[in-house]
Amino acid sequence: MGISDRKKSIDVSVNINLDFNEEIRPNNFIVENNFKSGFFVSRKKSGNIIAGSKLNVEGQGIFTVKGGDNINITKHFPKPTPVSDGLKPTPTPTPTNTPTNTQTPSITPTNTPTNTQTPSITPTNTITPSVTPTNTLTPTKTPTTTPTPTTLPITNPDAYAYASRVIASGGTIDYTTATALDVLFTDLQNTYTQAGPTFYSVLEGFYPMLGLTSATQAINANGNTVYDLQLSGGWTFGSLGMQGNGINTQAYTGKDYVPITGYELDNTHFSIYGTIPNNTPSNGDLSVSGVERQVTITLNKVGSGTGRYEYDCSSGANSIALLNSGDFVTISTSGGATFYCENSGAGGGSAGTISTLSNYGSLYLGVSTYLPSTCTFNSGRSVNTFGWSSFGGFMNPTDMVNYQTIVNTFMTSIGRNTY
Amino acid sequence: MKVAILTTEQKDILDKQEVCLKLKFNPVQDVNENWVISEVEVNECVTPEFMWVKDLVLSDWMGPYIPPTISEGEI
Repeated sequence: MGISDRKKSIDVSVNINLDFNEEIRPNNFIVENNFKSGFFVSRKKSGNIIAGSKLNVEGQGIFTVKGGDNINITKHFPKPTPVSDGLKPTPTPTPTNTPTNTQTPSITPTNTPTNTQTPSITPTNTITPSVTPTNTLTPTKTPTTTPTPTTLPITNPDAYAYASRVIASGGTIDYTTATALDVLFTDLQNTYTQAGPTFYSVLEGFYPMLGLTSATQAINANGNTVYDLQLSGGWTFGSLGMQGNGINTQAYTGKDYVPITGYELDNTHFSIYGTIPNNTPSNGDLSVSGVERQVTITLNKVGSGTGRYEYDCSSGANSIALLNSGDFVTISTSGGATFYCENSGAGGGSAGTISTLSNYGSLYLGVSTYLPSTCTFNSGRSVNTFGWSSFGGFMNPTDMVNYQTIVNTFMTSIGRNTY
Repeated sequence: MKVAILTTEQKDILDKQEVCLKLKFNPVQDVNENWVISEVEVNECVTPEFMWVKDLVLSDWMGPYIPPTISEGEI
């Protein structure tokens, strides 16, 4: 066939319809830039390319794209799995991405140790719950004693013990009273009598009468429960102390003198504080009474207008001593003379010896029950209100002043003082 | 001041028994030799077996019993 016979050129219009919704059906694998003639699907297609358009042949797809380069319409076909006779340079880069995926898992193990450490922290949390039960026990102890003592400004252990007894008996101790108790106990324990012992050791029994019930006001503050008051009758309890009714009230201290001798009486003191000024007339606010009556303090004696006291009245050897209507009275004796102290002012003594006395008697508050003919007092019950009382060893006149000053400081702190 | 009058039997039951913690009944005789307890004891009583005292009638206190004295001329 001659050259002229050959077909030199043929204009073939190619129309390619692009349907993106059509299911992808890859053609057989072709090799790029292989322009060898052959089966149609394996040859480069040609056609009219519209100006500004791009023919993109990737792998085996042929697309005509209209528009500028900013329009990226490229049909990506799945990677052909079949391998033809040609080379496959393109798949080679694919494994290059694979290491990338390989590195990703290598990071994962890095996180794994982190997670491994987290469980190691978990045991720490396991210990924490074991601490929690300890906290659970703490509140259990709290109701017993912790709350109140923690809030009370008390450093003196004996004051603390007394306050605790008041609270345990149903009473309350406020901040002011707690502070006053701390001072009171410390002063009593750090102040010495002329004979040597502290006031605290001289006091066999003393009664601050705090709280608002029989259970709290009966407490002997030095902790010796033998001398807790044994109350009977219609006592009324309030912020000023305990008030008798004049009918059947009495408070037995638990102190018995079996018998009380003259020598023992020489080593005693008694005190009582009426917290309503001038007090109501009576025939006995404190007494040692029994088969016979030995000792009586009357803050305001019926018919006399002033107070009285008697030491060893049953023997008749001890004359009646006048008081000056003081609200806080302390009496003591040296055997040859008796002494009294009213409202922190020392008084004189009355003559008379009591060293030969031997008799029985018990110490009561609010009553003098026995009336020997030698006693000038009548018997009777008091209607007075008492905010303090004590009994114990000897105090000389100087001691009694110091003692009353300490006690009245306490009474002033809690608002019970009358002078 | 008010009191509650007791029979002798009631007096024996209450004597030295607890009104409440650390407080005991203390019956005494009034001027007419009646045994009495005070209104306070009645009101404050919390002891279950003695709650019947709250049903006792209250009356005025007439004063304490005064034992008769024998004068020399009476002997």
